[in-house]
Amino acid sequence: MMGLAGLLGTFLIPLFESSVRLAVPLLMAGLGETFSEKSGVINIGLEGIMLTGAFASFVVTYSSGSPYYGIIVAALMGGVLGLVFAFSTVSLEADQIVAGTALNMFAMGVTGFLYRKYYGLGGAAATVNTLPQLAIPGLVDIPVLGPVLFNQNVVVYLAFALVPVAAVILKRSSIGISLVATGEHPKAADSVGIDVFKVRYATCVVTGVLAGIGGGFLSVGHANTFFEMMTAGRGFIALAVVIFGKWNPWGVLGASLLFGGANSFQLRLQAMGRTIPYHLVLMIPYVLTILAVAGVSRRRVNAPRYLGVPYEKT
Amino acid sequence: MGSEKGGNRSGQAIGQAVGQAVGQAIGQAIGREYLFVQLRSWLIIAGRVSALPILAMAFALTLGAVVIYAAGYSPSLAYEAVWQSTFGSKVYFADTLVKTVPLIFTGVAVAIAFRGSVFNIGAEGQFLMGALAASWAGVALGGLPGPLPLLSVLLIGLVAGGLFGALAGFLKARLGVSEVISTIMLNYVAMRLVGFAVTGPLKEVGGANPQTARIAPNAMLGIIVQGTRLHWGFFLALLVAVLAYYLLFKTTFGFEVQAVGYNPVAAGCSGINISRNIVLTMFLSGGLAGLGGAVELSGVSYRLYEAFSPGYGYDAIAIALLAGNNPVGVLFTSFLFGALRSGSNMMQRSAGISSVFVYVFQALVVFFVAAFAVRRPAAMRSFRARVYRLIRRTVVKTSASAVTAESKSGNVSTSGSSADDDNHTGDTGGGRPISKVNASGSSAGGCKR
Amino acid sequence: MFFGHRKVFTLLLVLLITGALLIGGLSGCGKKSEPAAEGTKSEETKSDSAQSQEGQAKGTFKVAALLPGPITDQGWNASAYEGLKLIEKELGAEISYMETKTPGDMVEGFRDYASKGYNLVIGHGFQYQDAAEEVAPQFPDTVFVTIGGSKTQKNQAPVIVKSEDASYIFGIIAAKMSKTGKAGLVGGFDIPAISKTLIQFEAGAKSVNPDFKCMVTYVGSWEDVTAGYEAAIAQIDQGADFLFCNGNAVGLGVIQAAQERGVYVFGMTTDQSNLAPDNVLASDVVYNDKAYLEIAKRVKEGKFEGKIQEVGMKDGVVEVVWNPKLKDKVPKEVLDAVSDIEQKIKSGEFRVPGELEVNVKQ
Repeated sequence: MMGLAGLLGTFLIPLFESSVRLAVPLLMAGLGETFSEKSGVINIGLEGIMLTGAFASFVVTYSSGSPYYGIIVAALMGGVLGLVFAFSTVSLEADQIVAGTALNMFAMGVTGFLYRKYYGLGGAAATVNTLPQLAIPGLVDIPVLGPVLFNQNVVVYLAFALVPVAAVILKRSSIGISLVATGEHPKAADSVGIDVFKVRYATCVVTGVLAGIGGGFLSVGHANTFFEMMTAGRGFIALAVVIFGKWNPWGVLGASLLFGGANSFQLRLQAMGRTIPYHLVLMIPYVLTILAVAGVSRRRVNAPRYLGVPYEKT
Repeated sequence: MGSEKGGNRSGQAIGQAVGQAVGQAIGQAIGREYLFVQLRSWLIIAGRVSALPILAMAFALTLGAVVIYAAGYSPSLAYEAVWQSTFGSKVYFADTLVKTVPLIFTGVAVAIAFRGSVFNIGAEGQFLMGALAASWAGVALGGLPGPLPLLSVLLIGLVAGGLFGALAGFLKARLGVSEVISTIMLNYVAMRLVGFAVTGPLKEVGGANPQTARIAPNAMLGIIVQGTRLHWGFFLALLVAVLAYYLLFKTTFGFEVQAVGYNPVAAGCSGINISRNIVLTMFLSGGLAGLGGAVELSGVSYRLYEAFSPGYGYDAIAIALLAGNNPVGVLFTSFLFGALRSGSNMMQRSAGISSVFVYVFQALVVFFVAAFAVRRPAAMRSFRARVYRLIRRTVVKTSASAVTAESKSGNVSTSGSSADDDNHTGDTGGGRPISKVNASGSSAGGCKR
Repeated sequence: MFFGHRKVFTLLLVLLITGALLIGGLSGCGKKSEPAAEGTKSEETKSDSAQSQEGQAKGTFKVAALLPGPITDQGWNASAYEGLKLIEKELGAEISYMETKTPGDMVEGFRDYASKGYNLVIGHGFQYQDAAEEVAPQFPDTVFVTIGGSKTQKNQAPVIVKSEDASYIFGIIAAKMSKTGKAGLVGGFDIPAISKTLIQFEAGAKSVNPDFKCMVTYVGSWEDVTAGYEAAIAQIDQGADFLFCNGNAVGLGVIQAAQERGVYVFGMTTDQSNLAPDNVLASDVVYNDKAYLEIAKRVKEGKFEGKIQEVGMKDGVVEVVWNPKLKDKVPKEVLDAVSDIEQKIKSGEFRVPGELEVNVKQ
């Protein structure tokens, strides 16, 4: 019994705690992407949006001192990028993959340039205040899980609260029905009076806002600074998380926790002792994801049928 | 049809008019009627094909100039740098071509996969695996006589990349793992494997640094023009692009690949083995990316280390899509990207312009080309007609079983709504794949039952 | 449709411009709080371009560097840039730098700088030695230096900066002061420039207490700040009460973790004590600029020799810089031990093994 308690206290709880932190950006971006993919728009520009969100919130927090403003501006900038993406893919019918790639490159270039110009050079790095942890009275006293789940910053709460909200919207609301219809058969949706363009614009903006917040969390929630390319591929992982989660918010939650958990486990494994070369340990999250997906892919859930296909009104 | 379609047409009309005028002028100048007719028709075609990309480039360059100016640099200096670094001298031009070579390989690899509607984001990983295997072969098999080391390096690189690609294909065909997930994850796996190899088993004996030993001289690709870095891999890349074009558009195999990509249900019904086709497509795609890795290793770096690829595999996605997934078009788009990279280097050296600017440029070019110029390639149109004929021929025979199988698997019939498909899918080279292929396995299996 | 969406388009443009202005403006404001810093920084960027335009004048001493990453990385490449700036200031040289991304870029960079008459081109990493070896014979009037590596020619030589001199001493400090007997070491990638500092940290610690345990984590990134943070948290959870990180921006995450959990951490490359004044005990400050200046002086005076050159604590290039706020809390015994070993290293009586001694594969 003592052994188990010891294991819980020194290993499992810290592991879970850090998994949650690592999962939040993936969860935010993944939830957003679920919306836009459900409506038929695949946005591989998540990485760029997250990077922009991270930079915007860093800049705002650095100059205003409040990370809350930072997160708000990150959301706004994400929304603007989502709008740009919607304009090019929905109105101009540009290829969604190409437009997403362009978005990634653009964000990489612009954030890198501005960071270098204003913050990067000379002396020590610029650091900012991070989002304060808000303990929820009562719940935080629950043994074991309380301190992990109910002593977090506002973005963590937001991310987890959004999961049921998104599930309800997608499954049980009229918005959700028109959204899914848009992705499954835009022509039919159009014929029953759903404005396909409006729906897709809306989902793209939602994706941008959520991914922007996810990025903002990286620079002012998790770390306390910005660095070029600090998203380190999380936008692409978030894409995989959406597919792994089968376009279902709960699935996205599970998938991001799995990935965050594997990552945190890998770091702890390294800290325990160097028996395995570190490169192989670093592979664990990726291999584990492939195996997990292979394991659960038997029961297929198809992607929205018109995913990636621009709609052309006739 | 929206009015931007109209804009599209007017763009083509401008191209056509320009072509006509120039053709006429030249024809009259030379004074030969038949030449005039011939020239005019060529130029009209050239004008139609290139008007929009050129327009898009002009847009991108203008906006790029604004951005550079806003950032406090001189646009003319920057563009001069790009021009200089590409066409300024023999050496610069060769350097640009050297940068283009790996992009051609990965670009063609991605284009083939996209043609088969396999969304291969894994060219990066396959490129690295090819280089990894090649670096082993270049050292271990360096003692073989004659050109054998070089051949084995290229072949082993190709096979290694191919197998790595086929792994994703297999996961998709057999276990239903979306290739988007598997190839993204396998990219990271490949990156870490390279790191492991160069710090562990393949680390140069007697060396302190995490890199493999230099490959044997026999395993290196020769330099074409002395005094430059241009190696024979460049011609290999051209050859690969042309062969890939031939394979895709002139052979039965290519037709099958595209048929599976275009309409898996119909393809399955007409007796094409979809699983086998997906694995083969991925093998071919991965193989080309792997060959690209082997060529980069045996032509440029001669050894492997951790930061071997600056993201060739990711650039390849944009390169392939900009080229409408046409292997020959990839030659041009790769050159464009290669020139931008050279230009970026030159801008840093001569104008002090930050290296991240190249991304802004690339983004602008990609965006404008995507928004204005990637439209309904003619090849896809005629191809679509062929698929419809195939559907008409085969679906009728198997209609009863196919329809029940499809309704069971929950797919609204794809083959039945061909007119609908024409409207929706015509414009995208690579947008279609995910939805169709995810639906593929089950319903196609249904056909065979 | 296009015209139907004109409203959207206008809205979009307005939003974009507002966003750009907002970010741009805030970027500016953010720096206004440190007016001096802003002045120098924008000057720097300008002088780069101005310099190279005017630098056609003959006879100027010209120095360039090829870098594997951005000059803003808070570590490796930033220190190279400091070096260039110092050369510019002290020797009135014309400077330039280029980030290389592909193997082909390295040769291109060396060759292009050399053909433009640069007197000294520095490749800032071991990976540049092949390229330097290839280009050096073609340009006998230019000196090629790589930071790290082992190859030499008449006009090519590596310079090895012994940053491990200071990390060895950190190991001693940690072993003497740690309550748990454990330290956490975080690295970016397992390359000699990184691993040697971690290995010598451990060696230093073991020289005091053979049972001292060092946990080593490589995060496989130079940019992922949060990975550094989580790696450090994992080590603290397993009992580490001293941290050390060598991995550019990753180190920022490690220092953040130390600050949150209240353990001591050692800074790397620059004096990082202002990042966490209560936690950064000392920093392994590497004066790459001094090393750069030294090389440039030798080249300028024609005294360059093609042989491996090591610079370290002995030459004043590496130094242990204490955090003034925390130095009082360090027991005198520890301080004495540190200054004792510092003396020994400086006098040459004791030598911390270098990268060519610990990393070679047999």
